[in-house]
Amino acid sequence: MQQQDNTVDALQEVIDFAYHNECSWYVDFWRQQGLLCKPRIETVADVTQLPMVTKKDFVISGHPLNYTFVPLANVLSFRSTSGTTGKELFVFPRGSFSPDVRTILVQNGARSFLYLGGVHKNAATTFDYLSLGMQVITADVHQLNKTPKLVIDHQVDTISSTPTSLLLMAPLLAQRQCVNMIRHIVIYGELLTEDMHTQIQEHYPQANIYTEYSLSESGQGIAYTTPACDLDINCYHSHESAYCEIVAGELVITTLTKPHPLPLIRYRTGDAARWRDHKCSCGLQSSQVFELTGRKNVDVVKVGGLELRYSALEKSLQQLPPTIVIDSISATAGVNKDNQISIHLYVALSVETKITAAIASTLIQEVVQDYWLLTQTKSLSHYIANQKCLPPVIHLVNKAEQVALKRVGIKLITDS
Amino acid sequence: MVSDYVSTDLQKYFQAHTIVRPVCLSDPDSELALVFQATCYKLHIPGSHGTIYNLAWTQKFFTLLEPDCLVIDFSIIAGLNSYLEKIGVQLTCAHLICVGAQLETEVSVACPQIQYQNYQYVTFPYATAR
Repeated sequence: MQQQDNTVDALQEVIDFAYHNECSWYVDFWRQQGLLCKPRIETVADVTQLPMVTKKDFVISGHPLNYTFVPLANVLSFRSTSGTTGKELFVFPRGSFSPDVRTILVQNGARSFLYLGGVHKNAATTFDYLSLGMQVITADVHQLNKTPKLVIDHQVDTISSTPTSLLLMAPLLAQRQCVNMIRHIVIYGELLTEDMHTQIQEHYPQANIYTEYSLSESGQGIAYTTPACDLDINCYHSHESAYCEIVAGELVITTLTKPHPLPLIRYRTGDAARWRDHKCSCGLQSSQVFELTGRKNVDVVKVGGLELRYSALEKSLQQLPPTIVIDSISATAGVNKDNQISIHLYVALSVETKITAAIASTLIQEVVQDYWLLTQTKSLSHYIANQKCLPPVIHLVNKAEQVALKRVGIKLITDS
Repeated sequence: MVSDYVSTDLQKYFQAHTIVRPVCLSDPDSELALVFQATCYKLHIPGSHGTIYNLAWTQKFFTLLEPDCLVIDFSIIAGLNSYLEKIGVQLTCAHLICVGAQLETEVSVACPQIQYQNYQYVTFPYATAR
């Protein structure tokens, strides 16, 4: 009950912050949506009086200063989303450090943190985390072969990365006999499979595995797991600094950190989720647990930090008969015993449909070609140059097959 | 420490010209990226970064953000110019700061696609950053 009272207060404070700010973006947006006066939040359910907001609502506002809620002196940098929620470039202000799973990592002894993430964000992150007493080393996902030297030189004990990049990096670290230096791993950015999780634990035997769910534009962690959790794969505890709702199967968040350069109030994440009723063994009872099940829209597939955009597939997909609706696209990647990358791309159909052999063949060929071109210019180029990446395997799957795939940890169904 | 990376040259320039929204374009793991960020951090101005690995993204980011100063490594100017030429876009910025090219003519010849009013050559990070 105490927790809920705190959340109610925090929600009211965020709304007050948005309402009485020099930046009137939310007030204008809410008025346009028919909300003429400030809502009073007495229970968490009252937050539903507010209309939901999407990335597009911000994007059409033009310059990011139109939705910057703090003075420029309090903005650390302007950044942009990585593209997983659509084609538009969403540029937004980021402030200084907000609480996330790294706070817990520091409490558990992490000191030297290697961040393998979006290249344009790295330098801005470096100094931000000094306030935690944590050294941050920025690595480049495009040059994984440089990583072992960074790990050794900086005595890295913690790596934050996508699962695919972790698996790609593991043989390189093992080769330099530094893989056992890694005591903590933070996984983010891709849906995990049981198999990937097992592989990561095998490759990094000394590491405790944390997972984090976050959005670039939120500027903070939204949900996480720690090694003490016994939650299923892709299940997370919501962070106390974010209020999560699931509306029509979609995760909707409100950031409770303040002052926030861009408070997200009832922000539609585009991620499909469902609540899970599970008492976690970590003992954290106050937090809600949700399971991410995929994307609500087909717009991008992520493999190891590599983004395969829907636009790249559009031409191929348009060749399908109009009666066929693509429900979702997902991908997995792994490293086999010969250190070859094997990528599987799953195109899930929302209706039971027979695809003629000719259509399937054209589709697969074009998708492979698009995908192959992308991989050559992006993060897997190092491996492709060394002929270690196998041509991707494309699977067209119907509903029944989705269910079967789900049993083995590959989740494609986004709306149910 | 942050102060180890602050460039006095860059700091002075930003202060003298009241720069409030600079963007840096360099190799992400370069010292320039860190120097730029540390200096912005000290001056309490947003320090935003483009990426050399996705120039299409960088061009869109730059166009949308309308920075008042571009800090760029000379070694990547030719590649950027080639891309901008290919897509027929010119970037406009009041201030251009370049590391690695002492003469303005080197930059104007190498990158006619960037239009600027003021040019500054700085020697950091290798000479003055520490």
